[in-house]
Amino acid sequence: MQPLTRFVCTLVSLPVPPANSVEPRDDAPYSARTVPEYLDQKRIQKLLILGSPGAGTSTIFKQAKLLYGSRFTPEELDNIKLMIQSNMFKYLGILLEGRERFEEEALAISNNPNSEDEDTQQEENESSGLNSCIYSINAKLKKFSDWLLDIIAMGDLDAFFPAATREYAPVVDELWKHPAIQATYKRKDELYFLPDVAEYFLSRAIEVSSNEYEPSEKDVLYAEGVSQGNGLAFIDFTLDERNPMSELYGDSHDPSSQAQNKYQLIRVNAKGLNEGCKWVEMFEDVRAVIFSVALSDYDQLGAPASGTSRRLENKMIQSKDLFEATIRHPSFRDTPFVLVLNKFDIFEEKIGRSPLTACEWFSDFDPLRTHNNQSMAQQAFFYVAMKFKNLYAAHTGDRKLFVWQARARDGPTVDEAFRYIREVLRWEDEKEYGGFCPDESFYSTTELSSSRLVEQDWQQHPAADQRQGST
Amino acid sequence: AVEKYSKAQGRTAVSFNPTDLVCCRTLQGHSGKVYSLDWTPEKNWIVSASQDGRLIVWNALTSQKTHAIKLHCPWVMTCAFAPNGQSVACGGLDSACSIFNLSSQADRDGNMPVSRVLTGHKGYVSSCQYVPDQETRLITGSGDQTCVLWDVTTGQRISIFGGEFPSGHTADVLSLSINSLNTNMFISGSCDTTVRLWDLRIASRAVRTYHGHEGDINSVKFFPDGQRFGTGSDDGTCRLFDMRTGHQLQVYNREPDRNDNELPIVTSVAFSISGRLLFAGYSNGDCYVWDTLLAEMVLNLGTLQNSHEGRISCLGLSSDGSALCTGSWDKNLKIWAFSGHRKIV
Repeated sequence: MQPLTRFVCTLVSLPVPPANSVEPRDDAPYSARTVPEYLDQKRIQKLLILGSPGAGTSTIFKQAKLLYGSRFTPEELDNIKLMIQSNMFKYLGILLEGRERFEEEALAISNNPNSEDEDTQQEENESSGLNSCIYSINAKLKKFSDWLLDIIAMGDLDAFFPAATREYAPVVDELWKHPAIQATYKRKDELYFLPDVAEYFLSRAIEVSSNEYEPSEKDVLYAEGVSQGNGLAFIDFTLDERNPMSELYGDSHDPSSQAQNKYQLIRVNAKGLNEGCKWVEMFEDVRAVIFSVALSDYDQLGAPASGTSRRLENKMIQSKDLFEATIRHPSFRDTPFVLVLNKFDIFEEKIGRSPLTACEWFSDFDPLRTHNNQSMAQQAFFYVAMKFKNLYAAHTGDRKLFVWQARARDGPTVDEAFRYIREVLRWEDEKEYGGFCPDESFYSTTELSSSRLVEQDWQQHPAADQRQGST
Repeated sequence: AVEKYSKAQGRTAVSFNPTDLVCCRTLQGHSGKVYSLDWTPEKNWIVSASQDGRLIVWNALTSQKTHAIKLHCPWVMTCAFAPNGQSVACGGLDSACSIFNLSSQADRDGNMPVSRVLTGHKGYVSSCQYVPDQETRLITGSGDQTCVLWDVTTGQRISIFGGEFPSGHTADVLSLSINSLNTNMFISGSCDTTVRLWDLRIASRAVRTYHGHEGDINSVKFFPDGQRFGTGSDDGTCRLFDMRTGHQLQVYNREPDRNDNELPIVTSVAFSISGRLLFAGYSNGDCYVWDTLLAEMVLNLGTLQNSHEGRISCLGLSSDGSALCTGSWDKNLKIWAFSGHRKIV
């Protein structure tokens, strides 16, 4: 690259293309072009983060706040504490409902003379009377259970909790430790609405309910949601120049590009984006949309996102539908998307016992046989990334989707994710203003060990697999 | 339909010359799209809300800005004046409705303290209106599919319309309008393509549901006689409904575009004092003046000199009916007045 061009770039505060750039497509020198608004020193670059419930958007948001923003204020922590307490009763409600369901089924089997279920017969014989089984609880606990399930059904949970938390904490603790509830929890895969954090809080019911309880950083991250109303939340932050990708170019970025390091992360609760998405128009000006998907959702069912149907749907399909609705929205026609495939650790743990094909969108997944969960998880990750990329390309006229793998409860992976996003934005800038225009495929996905990618990419970027850091 | 009957009676359309309604003020000051506006019931003040995160209070006669309130959450969708003109309310993606007392002192940075925040909605606040003649009660419409009646002094929810109870909306509520002749009744328009009528005293079920539109209903407004109401929708039409019978009395259909482009959507509607005229703002910057009886468009403010350069997002008539204010994504508000000899219709 010409020394003159580099000098001119510095002069007008444009990003400096790396050393091995090709000539700009446009013949006009840099100085003749207008500086885009977002390169203006004072301008904050907005990032919108979206995802289905449970995809991890609030976790990523809270991580960003912990990593780059100001600490949570006492008021915010108090708010989160109330949220945790209130949610605890919600989780208990789900368990109690499951317990009732399982008890009914178990009793129906044991009371059926044609039943071949020996275990239930045994339990029935052990406990006195025909009407109890492992899922049964005593009258006092049943009374509480009925009352709690009633108020939840009426939508009145927030009238009682978190206000009455301390009063009922002992009952919560007693129930959680009860064999009936533990037996119910063992079948949590059948409890569709029970989030994975339920145990984390229920097992500490007494502690969480006390007046002196102050949520730890970990508690804050594990708590569902950001604030009680779950309305929009946003933080402003700056990223320092540390750049994991800089060694690839052997060229450090110009200090004048510091101007681009101010960000505003906006998290919106995406319930109901599928219809009536009027508010999406307000985000036309975001520099990128971060779309979070929980990898571990492939075999999970959830309540329908909108409409009056009560049938459960596959949660990965719900994410796919939300993704599709978002990328097709006219407001995001020219906005780059970064897909964050989250909860990789949970995904890796279960991929061995629960096949990816549980999700019908992934029915053509045909992996290399392996006894190794890690390798299977990587293949599956690549496959899922490819499915989303193809979907994106189909709707956007072959544009490239950027993908990052994450475990949002782990700070470093979120930090790396934001630095990756920053690089994505810089590449987008450079693409638009000419200069270096490399083949995007080698940095549009993070992990390069998929057999589908060409070997030469591996040779060009040996440092890449260090970024992945999953195990 | 009303139109057939009127034509059969030999009625002719209100005749409008382009000079009868002129843009007499352009209110500049917002640095982002204008989303909502509201007039005071008495004086000629307007409050406007914009994507730049501010509420501005304007003296419509002099164009002066009397207040510029910086909002904590810049994604604001609605604003409203209190009946006594001393407070303004606003709401948006923060899922809350914030109230500002205009006589409070702003600090050195121009930030005005919030006098109350109404929280409880589980979705964005799309619309809000004070109950006429009651400073203390306000109704909000929300993306959580409910409307709520609030007591502003305590911040408590008095009633919730929809939600857990059947007969509520099944999608986001986008707008509402309180009947000024019977303030116990209000209507809400929703993305579920229906309008529902509510009685403030009976939260448990909607009084009536009105079908007809084929797309999200962006705007609803009671007709001056309080017996009918007008609507504007994503389906590109405005409609007139009879409140008591539920009948759709009239559809106001645009001529399709010569280039066969997609029909612009209706973002906002308002009636003239007599109800003879229906003002409708569209997403392409047009602002049609419809003759409600004959279903004819008699003037398009979008073609006049000095018209907006972007989508009309909101509009409203002053309380004496002498002026129309339009707000746009071009960041401006404009005041349109009936010129001298023209009687207010």
